[in-house]
Amino acid sequence: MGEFLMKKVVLTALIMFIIVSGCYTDEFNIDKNMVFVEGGEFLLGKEGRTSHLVRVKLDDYYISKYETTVEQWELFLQETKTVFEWKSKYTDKRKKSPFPDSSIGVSWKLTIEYSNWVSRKYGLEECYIINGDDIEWIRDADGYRLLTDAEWEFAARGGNNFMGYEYSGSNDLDEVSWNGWNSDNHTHPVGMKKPNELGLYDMSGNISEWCWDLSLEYQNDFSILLINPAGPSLEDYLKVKDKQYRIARGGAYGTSDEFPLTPYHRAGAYEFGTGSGQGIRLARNASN
Amino acid sequence: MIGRSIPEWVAGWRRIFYYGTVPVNFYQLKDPTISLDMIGDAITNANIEGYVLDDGTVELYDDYLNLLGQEFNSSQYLSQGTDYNNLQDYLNSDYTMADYAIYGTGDNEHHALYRNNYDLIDPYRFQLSWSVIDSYRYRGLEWVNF
Repeated sequence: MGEFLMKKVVLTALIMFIIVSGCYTDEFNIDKNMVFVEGGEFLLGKEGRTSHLVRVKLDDYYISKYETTVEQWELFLQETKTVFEWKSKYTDKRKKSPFPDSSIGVSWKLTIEYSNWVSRKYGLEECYIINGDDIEWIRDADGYRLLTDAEWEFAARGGNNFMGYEYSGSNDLDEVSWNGWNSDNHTHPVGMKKPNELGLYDMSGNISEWCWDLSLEYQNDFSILLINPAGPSLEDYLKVKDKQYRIARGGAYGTSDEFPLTPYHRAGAYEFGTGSGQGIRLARNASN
Repeated sequence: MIGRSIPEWVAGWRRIFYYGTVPVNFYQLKDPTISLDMIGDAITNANIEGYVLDDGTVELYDDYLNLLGQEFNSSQYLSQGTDYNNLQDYLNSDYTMADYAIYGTGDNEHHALYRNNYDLIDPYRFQLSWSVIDSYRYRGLEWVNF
């Protein structure tokens, strides 16, 4: 009986170890979850729906299938000793969404630090030089980074596999997104809905995704071909705006307006805010 | 800007004494106890939380109302789900310009607020007290373009 009990304990411990170690490695499958996006030329914006319609040409790049999750974020916090206030004064997203594989909302600045940390984890060159609030993007670095606004839209539309859907991957919003009508006002585990043409999940809804670009309208000039655009420089931006807003795309769990959940809508969120509704989807250059 | 399209009379009030255009805050229209300072703090915090986008629209509406409720200590904002459709329509701007008019007979006055010219803002629907409506008179006098 004692031997049987011992075997049972050992077996249970072994199963627990496998589960726990399995969870741990799942946390860090970021590199395995990157999807190749073949570059191309496309019209950014949608006629009649956006104030801009611009010609854009993009190089190839990689994009994460999923939004960054709570458990990935926790690992980043532990390893970097980054101070992060989980409990906002108004809402507690962890409490509202207890699933560790839910997407997480964070500030823009912390997305930059997170991207650099993931690059270090994989032994890659960091994409960002951080000097206080000044962030410089090393564009040919091979590490992890945020998407540009144009890369985000191209990928959300399915890249060169674009099928013309209204939302990212479907004309049925409920099929592809967690939004203000079906989310119970909290984020959900990533990858639960139908993916888009490129196999990307949650490009519409769940959490709005920070991009690199400062939030400014495109110059609406059809004669110009923008090659790998990345938004205005901070210096140019501050000539016309007094507060720094960065592009955030795709809408979130609380979005109850249809257009912001499409691949075409550009929103600008306050760069120095807590980013309660804005999260991360990582990208990488495809070649150097 | 003078609200030229304000009706020159309303039922029972034959003469217009005064009219002008005043800034009206819809948070106060919902709850007159909310001060301008409280509104300012709430908008700042809503920006910091990322609820208010750079075009002035609100993305996470429930979270935004929850924030307002706590900043305003207002049960009206905290108890979500009723009668907020109108408020949501106005969220694109915290202030809207409203036409303000005082009608009278010589002995009595009647104060009225309008949006989009003839669109009367009903004080009862927005739970405005008459003292708050009266305060618009003085605010209106400060802002009016003669």
